[in-house]
Formats: sequence, C-alpha cells, structure tokens
Amino acid sequence: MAIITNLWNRIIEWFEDRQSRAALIRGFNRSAKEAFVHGEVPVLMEASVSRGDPSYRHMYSKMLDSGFRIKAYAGRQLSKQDIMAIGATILANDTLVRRMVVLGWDTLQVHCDVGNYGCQWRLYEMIMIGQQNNK
Amino acid sequence: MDTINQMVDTLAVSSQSGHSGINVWMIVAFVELGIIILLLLVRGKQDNAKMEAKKRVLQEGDIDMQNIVTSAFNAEPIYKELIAKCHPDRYAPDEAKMAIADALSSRITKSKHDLRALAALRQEAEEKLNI
Repeated sequence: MAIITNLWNRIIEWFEDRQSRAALIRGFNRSAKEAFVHGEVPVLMEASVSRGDPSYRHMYSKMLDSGFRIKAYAGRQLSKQDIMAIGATILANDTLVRRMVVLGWDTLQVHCDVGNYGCQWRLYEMIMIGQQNNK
Repeated sequence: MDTINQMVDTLAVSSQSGHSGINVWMIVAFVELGIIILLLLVRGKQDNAKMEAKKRVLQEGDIDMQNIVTSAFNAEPIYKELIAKCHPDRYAPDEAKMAIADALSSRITKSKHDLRALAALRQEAEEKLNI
C-alpha cells in the first residue's frame, strides 16, 4: 500500500513541479517584459529551461532540463560585469534560489543574444553560501 | 501398452522435476520481491523527507520578480552612492552618527542586489544621517 501511495505521490509531484516551474518562468518573463516596456531596464531578458551542467547535480535535479537559462536581448555582447550582475541579482534572492533548487534546477546560466560568451552558476552551492552568511 | 506406460512415467518425472524447479525459483522470486519492497520502502521514507522539505520551501511566500528584474541593472549605482554616503568615517568624530552609519553600511552591503531594500535604506539614511 505504501508503495502505491509513494508512486501516486510521485505522479502528483511531477505534475505540480511542472506547473510550478512553468509559473516561475512565466512570472520572470512577464516581469522582464514589463520592466523593459516601461524603460526600467535597458535589456529585455527571457528565461527558459535548458540542459544543466551534469556536474552540478543535486538530490532534486531533474533528469534532462535542469538548467535555468536567462537570455539577455541586448543586440550587442554584454560585458562580463553586466552578465555577472544579472546572475548575482538572482542569486542574492535566497527564497528564489531555494525554490529553483527544489523545483529541479541545478544550473543558472546567463548569456546574451550576441556572441558565445556566458556565465553559469551552481545553484546548490549558492544555498550553502547563503546559509553560511545567515549564520 | 508399453508406450502408454512410458508416456505416463515421462509425464510423472517431468511434473516432479517441474514442481521442484518451480519451488526453488519461487523462493528466489519471493526473496527478490522482498528486497524490492524493502528498497522501495526505504526510498519512500527518503522521498517523504524530501517532499516535506520541498513543501516547506514552496510555502515560503511570493517572490518579487519585478524587483529582481529591475535590481539586475539599477541596484548597483544606488548601492555605490549609498555605500559612499554612509561611510562611518564621513561622520567622525560624532560617535553616535558613526555607529548609525556603520549599521547602515552593513545593511546596505547585504542588500547590494535588492533595489527595493536599497530605496528603503536610502530613506532611512536621509532621516538619520541627513545625506
């Protein structure tokens, strides 16, 4: 009986996770679009799901789509400082990072639409750093 | 008649051997099933702990995405301005103000990437330090 319950819970969890992941990405994209339209930010950003770095895996990681990718439509190659600033802002929000981790993301990737340059961070590590800072 | 007897013997032997074979393999199958159930139960317990932790995290409250997006590009200039204006050395030798500036500086550093928090800190600094 416990096995059936666990299996059922896993099925429900899978659907809930998909919904929560989609809601998080939609929320980010909506806010990014609104901020760009109102002139609050100079660059349009778009979040999507990608293949994460397999070496960044943790206990909640999704099998295939474990990367949270932010693409900045700047029309030019952004500097490393700009890319790092986008990443740092995401990582500074502990609640968001924790939520991303439990929803199966293990890698945060930021890059722009021009060039091949980008940065990526290991999300689980950021939680550990956050916990140390809070202590 | 001999042929019929032979057939009956053969059937008896085969059924005997088949029966004993099923018993051995049945035991093996039951042992395997037991191991699988045990593993699933152990894993189920781990999953429950995992799900509890996940539930707690998901109930932490709403995330201000608008603030995160705008902070990505607008927080740094405000941070630099505030951290310069609230430097404790600027208020020497007034020790009371230096203490306030020191506390504010550490909070500003913590909120380096949070535009909303920096705006609140600026207001606080204006009230307490007259920046």
